[in-house]
Amino acid sequence: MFKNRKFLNILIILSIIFFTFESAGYYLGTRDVSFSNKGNLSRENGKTSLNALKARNSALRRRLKSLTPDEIYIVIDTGRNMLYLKRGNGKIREAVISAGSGSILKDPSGKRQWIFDTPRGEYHVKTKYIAPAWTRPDWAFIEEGEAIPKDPRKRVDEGVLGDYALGFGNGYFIHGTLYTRLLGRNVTHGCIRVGDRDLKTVYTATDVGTRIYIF
Amino acid sequence: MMRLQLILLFITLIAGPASAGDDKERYIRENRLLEEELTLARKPDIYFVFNLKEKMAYIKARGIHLRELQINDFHCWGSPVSGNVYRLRKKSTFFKPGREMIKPGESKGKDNFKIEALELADMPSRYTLVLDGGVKIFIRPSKGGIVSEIGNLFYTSIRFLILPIAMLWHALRGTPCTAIDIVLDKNDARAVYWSLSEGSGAIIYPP
Repeated sequence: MFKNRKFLNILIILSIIFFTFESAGYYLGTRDVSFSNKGNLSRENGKTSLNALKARNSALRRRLKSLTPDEIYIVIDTGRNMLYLKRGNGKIREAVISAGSGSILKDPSGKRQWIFDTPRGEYHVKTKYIAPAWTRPDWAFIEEGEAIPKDPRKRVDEGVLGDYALGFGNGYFIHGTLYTRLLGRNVTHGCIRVGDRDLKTVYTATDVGTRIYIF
Repeated sequence: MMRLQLILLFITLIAGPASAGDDKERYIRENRLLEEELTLARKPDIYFVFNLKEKMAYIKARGIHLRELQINDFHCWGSPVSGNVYRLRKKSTFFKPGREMIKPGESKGKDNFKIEALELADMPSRYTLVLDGGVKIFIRPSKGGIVSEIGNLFYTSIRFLILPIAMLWHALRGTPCTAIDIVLDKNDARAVYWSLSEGSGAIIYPP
């Protein structure tokens, strides 16, 4: 094949074209490799003195820093299954939790579907309960393969949510658990399960309105 | 001696204003990014900050650091990043983690409880974050193991063959193209994949 001169010529020409393109692309890619701060600066900024820019920079950093709340707030890391009770940048307590499993349940009728994710973003403690009872939603019966009861009293399940519960909206709660061996794993239907001692601390330290950050 | 002093004076005169100009540009850019972050912090959503200068990545909400991640290494290609907030358009990976389907009634009466869940360990550590404005962030785990090495070899060949062609293509079309390689610890790379969802805001501080 390599004895064929025509083929060899085509191969050389294609290689030259390819490497020309590669070199040009490589040059373009690395030209701004410094990723410098060059860019389209507005004229107004161009006239501002360096000292004024430094002062503005410090002010903006202060404003950003001041956003961290001075009061107690909760941070929940659903990936590592950890809950942090914090004030400012300081950690008051950390606890191993169980967050949502991310599993999907479909109603056999095909009309409804549930995704058991823990919601993410900023929330607030909306309700606080001592010795809460669980009102089982439809998915709890479907998951167990049971018929959905018509009598609402048959939905109430006592003692499964632990000693305390903090609601943060849309039926989601931070609550206790009977399955302490599963703490640290993603097994819930979206709620946050916490061990008894940690739950008591969280319940005592927080009020209605306490901010919760879930990621 | 006199000549040396004159040369030093000349260098000072030339270098002084140039570095002041660079400082000025750096502060203008940084101030703009801080202003953008303050706007982002007004909303209750989770956002990301990739600070290439400090080699840190932050998961944030309302300006609060929720988690800090160390960037082990990074490389930048193409157009400089803008001073705006980017939005995540897509998380691209070879093996996308899948959700478990619950079969009604199956768990009842089971002796061996098996956890069927989507967990952090199921997340990929090698993937691409496609942001708007032609920015792609390639996340890779730190070296370790033969699989990781093969992955890195594959990645390097892509980088040296495909990226230059892509750069040329975008330059000819007049569209911006930025590629950033970020090396994180394996679990940190998984945590970024876990926490970032489509539409999340991201701010990139240049080195």
